[in-house]
Amino acid sequence: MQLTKTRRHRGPRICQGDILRDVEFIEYVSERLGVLEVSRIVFPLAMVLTQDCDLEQDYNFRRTRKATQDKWLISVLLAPMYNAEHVYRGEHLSELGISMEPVPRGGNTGNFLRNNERPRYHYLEFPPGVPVIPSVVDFKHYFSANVEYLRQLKRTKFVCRISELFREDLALRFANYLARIGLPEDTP
Amino acid sequence: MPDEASGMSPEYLAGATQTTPTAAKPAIEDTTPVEEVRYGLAKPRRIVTRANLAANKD
Repeated sequence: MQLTKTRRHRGPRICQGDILRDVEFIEYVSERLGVLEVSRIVFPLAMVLTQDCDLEQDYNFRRTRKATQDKWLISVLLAPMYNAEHVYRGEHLSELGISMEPVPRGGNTGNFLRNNERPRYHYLEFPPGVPVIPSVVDFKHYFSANVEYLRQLKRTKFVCRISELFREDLALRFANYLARIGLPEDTP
Repeated sequence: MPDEASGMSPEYLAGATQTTPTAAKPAIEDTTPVEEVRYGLAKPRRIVTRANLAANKD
């Protein structure tokens, strides 16, 4: 298991691999009998997954006069990072009233998780000096957020950005996870 | 003008020395441990906000 290297330089735009704090996801908006209700989930940590070239093009197109808004993104993909200790016990979403399957810390199960041999998860552990605890990215829980919202959020809630090779590894694993094909068990 | 024999400046040969100023030590040593900031300890939480649309109408 490798310790994930990071960069602390914030930069003006959203980048793939950015780790942001307190990212809000709009769970639903409803209106009933004149009462508007908005439910938000606040993720203590989330990582930006959108391809960096797309983020760069969006940033450049928004800030320079172009004939079209062809490269503007509608939203940015992120995935939550959960406290690994909570994931081991299956309690990481208990505040949302969601119970998850435990992933036992020890034995082969725990080792598979930390060695990133489970397609759904990406385990991250950081060197000393990086203020992030061992965390687990859950690819199944990807969500989207507005580009400009994230850019504003980054001004005060940027933690770090994972370094290039580690970022590429995570991005590739996420892409593979989305592209997986679940074959039915009983095939003739 | 450097000394012809040694090539060293007269100031050096005269024993001029430079001293690096050292920071004054605090009178009382502060041993209070600085809390290390660590992110990611908390769990995700839900915030539900409600607004009465009728109350905001003109």
